[in-house]
Amino acid sequence: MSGYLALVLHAHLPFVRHPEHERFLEENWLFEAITETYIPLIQVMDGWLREGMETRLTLTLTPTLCSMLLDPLLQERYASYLHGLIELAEKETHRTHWDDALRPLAEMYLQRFLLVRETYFAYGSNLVGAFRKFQEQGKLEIITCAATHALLPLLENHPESLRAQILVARDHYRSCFGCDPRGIWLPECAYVEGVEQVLQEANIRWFVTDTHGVLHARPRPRYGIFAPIFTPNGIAAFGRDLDSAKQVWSRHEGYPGDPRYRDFYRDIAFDLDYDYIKPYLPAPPQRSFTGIKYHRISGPAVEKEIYNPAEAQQTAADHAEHFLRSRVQQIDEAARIMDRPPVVLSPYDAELFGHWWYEGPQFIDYLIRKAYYDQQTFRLITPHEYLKMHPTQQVARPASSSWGEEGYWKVWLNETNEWIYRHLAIAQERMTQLARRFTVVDGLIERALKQAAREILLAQASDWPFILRTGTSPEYACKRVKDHLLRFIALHEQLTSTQVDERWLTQIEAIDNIFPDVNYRYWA
Amino acid sequence: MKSKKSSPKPKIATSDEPQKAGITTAKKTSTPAGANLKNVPAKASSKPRRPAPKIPPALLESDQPAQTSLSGPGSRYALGPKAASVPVSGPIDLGDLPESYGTQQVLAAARDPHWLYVSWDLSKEQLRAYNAKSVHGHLVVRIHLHQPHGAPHSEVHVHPESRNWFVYVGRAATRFVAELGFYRPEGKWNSIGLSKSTFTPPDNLSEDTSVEFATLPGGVSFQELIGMVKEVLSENVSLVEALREQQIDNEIHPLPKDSSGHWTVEQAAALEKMVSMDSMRRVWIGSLEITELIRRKMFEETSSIAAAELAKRGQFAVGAVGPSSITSPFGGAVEKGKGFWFNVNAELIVYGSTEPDAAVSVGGRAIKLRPDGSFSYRFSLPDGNYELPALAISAAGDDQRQARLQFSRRTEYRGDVGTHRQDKRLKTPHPNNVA
Repeated sequence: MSGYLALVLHAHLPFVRHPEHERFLEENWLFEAITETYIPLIQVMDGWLREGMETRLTLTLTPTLCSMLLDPLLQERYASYLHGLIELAEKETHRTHWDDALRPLAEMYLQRFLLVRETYFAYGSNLVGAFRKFQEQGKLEIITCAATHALLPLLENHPESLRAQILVARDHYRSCFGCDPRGIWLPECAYVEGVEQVLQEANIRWFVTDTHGVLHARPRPRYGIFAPIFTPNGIAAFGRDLDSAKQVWSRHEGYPGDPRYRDFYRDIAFDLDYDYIKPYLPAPPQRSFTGIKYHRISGPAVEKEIYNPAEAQQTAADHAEHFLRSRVQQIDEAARIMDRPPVVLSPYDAELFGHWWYEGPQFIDYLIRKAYYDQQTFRLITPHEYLKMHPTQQVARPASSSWGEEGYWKVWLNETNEWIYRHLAIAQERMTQLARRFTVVDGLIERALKQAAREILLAQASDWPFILRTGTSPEYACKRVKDHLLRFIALHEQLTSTQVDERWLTQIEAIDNIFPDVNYRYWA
Repeated sequence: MKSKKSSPKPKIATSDEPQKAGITTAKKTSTPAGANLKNVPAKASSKPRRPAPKIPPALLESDQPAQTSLSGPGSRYALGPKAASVPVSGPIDLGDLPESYGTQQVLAAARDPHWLYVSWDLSKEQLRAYNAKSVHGHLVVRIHLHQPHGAPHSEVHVHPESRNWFVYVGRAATRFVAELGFYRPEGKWNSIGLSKSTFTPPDNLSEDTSVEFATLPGGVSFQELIGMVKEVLSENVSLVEALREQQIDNEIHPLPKDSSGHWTVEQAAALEKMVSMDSMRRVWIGSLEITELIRRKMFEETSSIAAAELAKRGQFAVGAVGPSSITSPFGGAVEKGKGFWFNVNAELIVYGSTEPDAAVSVGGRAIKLRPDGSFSYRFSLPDGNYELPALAISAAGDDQRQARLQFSRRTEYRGDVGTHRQDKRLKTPHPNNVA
């Protein structure tokens, strides 16, 4: 063995749960990700387990995602979503009866959805428990993230908020997985000096930065990104490998853009008769994805071609082989130069695999199998395991950085979303004042303080400024920030000037029900 | 991939005041994104309209188009074309956020190695009062290096109504403090507030190539390690220094020999070559959403090829329409090049009913009956001749009925007619909208 490969997937969705509406379009973010990414990943990992393979994978399950996966209302809604999907797929097998090109695809979807349902119910609708099983068997390292995926460098001005984001996440992880997290995914890989103080308090041992977060560290890291560095207070920072990132993301070499893969956009929701498709649309009359797509990305042809699953599967296998050989070559080369085994850390958004890149889970399956069976150059490893084997590392201060556009925080702080931070700054200070003022409380006051903490956390999510920047659902993102801030303002006023309105509090507790045991004293 | 530059650029102040060294103004940022989200009513057409022909209501029942405008983002947040969600209304309408809170706090945050974001919490009245006292009629943001003492690093004159500014500082790895204030008529500086300091990220490799190692055993918690060295640990002595000083790291895990510092210039150069950060490789990509941009770029390239091919065949005049309109990777409009288009398709609906507990098969495949015993199935009907046997068997299995349906479709096309409904409003996202 010359070195190691640590594959890290970051699974995250913002907290979207609207019991006040019967159907809510944005809840489909979760439902689509469960169907296309999380369950296929579980199925693939179950396969490795059955075969007794010694595999290693690292996965972030963010506190917001875990909360949604464990929420009974969303579980019930997902089951109903899945039922609808299966019904539609079944209808599609009939509809395409005389269409030889589409019928096998309709049947493929039906089989896949049935399998998804089987897996979902086999795990008792508890996907957090499913992933926990792999961790307990030593095949998976589950790491945490900031409580609501707040961009931590933009909380630098308010260390109490930064601390609360980490400690609330640590507590939530304990409640989900029965142990402490060893690693953390800093939201958007965004690091700023000071984060490590809180990580130390939470006994978190490692995090990931983008490549330049390690390369630009002070002093210059001897091994580049082929070894982690220790911050002066002893937290390991692993730098993202640029070569493996490029192979998946580059426009020239990037795998997901291959014309043989399934097209993300060409969904039957846009092709078929409205009356037929309407019962399966999440928010009619708007046509939005059903998840059944019959076309491949195709080349420059005017008309998109019909998807060929066998061809796409072979392409995924070829791409996995290419990725593997590139890592073998890279690790061999680095090992020849270095005086210790290099480690290559390749992190990706989990939802890339399956949701966006339909064949992504197959790619991961092939890659892990090939890495296990077909090569001797590197070993799959998790960062925690690596640190146990290699506890001696260079000490350096990582550079502030993120993996967003241009490498810093421009995506989350620009003309489209800066207004959020002006309001957050005031609300955060007020939260600290509340936590310092109400040291010993119980009953209604404690409930109001906890709810205030929840509202602040939800308003801090990096998803909202991101969506405002990209323009995918800006009205929704804007409304979410405002709702949480306004609820906080009302709670602050009730706690400091008037009195807590129990009826109203009960209503918002039922809506924003994340982190039932949140410790508001973390803000003190 | 080139990174897009959309940061506000500094420009020369237009104020009557003579320019001072280091004084710049920066572009005012827009009003809060959430402040103005009202729908703009559609413009009424000025052309007189002929009365619409009367259409039987039945023909209007199906295939209603979506009400919202479409675009084509691709991301974990994508729900198909631009999602317009049901507005979230709180249990009680809490109105809108206040414009400000009047705390006079100044916030500064380094956004990247060269830009700071500065905002201040002043009410409308406070702003008006300060502007009235200012010789310029507006406020000034001073940027200080390290500490707010002495001459500022730069000054920015801001718009009288603004509550924030993106300020170009142009210095990476530097600590800055922002100060808000104004000049009185006598030229004296009047400070309103100071921000906490903020540090611009470094943007290059460190010149410091010194190497020190530390050993942090994973099995020992930080709390235990801190307990071991608490006597020497202080604000100026980090945990790893304290461990080293107390020689605890050697006790726990002796330094491996290969980490003792034998590292040649050749090794350093060879490794640097493997992970260089040159501009060509500086592709800040990671978020799922960026693939959208990549795919869009790929699409532009492939459609350029398509444009050339079609032009060769005389089917498409290059230059008349941009190449990006030839095909869409998003299942979107293919018709733009010709202006007019037509898609037509045919489906067949077979429906019926029987006893609710009967077993029914259509086309040899068992189907589910509704609770009232009815059923309805659609069939895509391409050109050709088809047979569709339908069979119902009673629950007891002692009776059955059968129908053999026969169909034929033959289509004659004149001109370019498509077969699928392709929503022409599906469009590629604007690159600016992709992180």
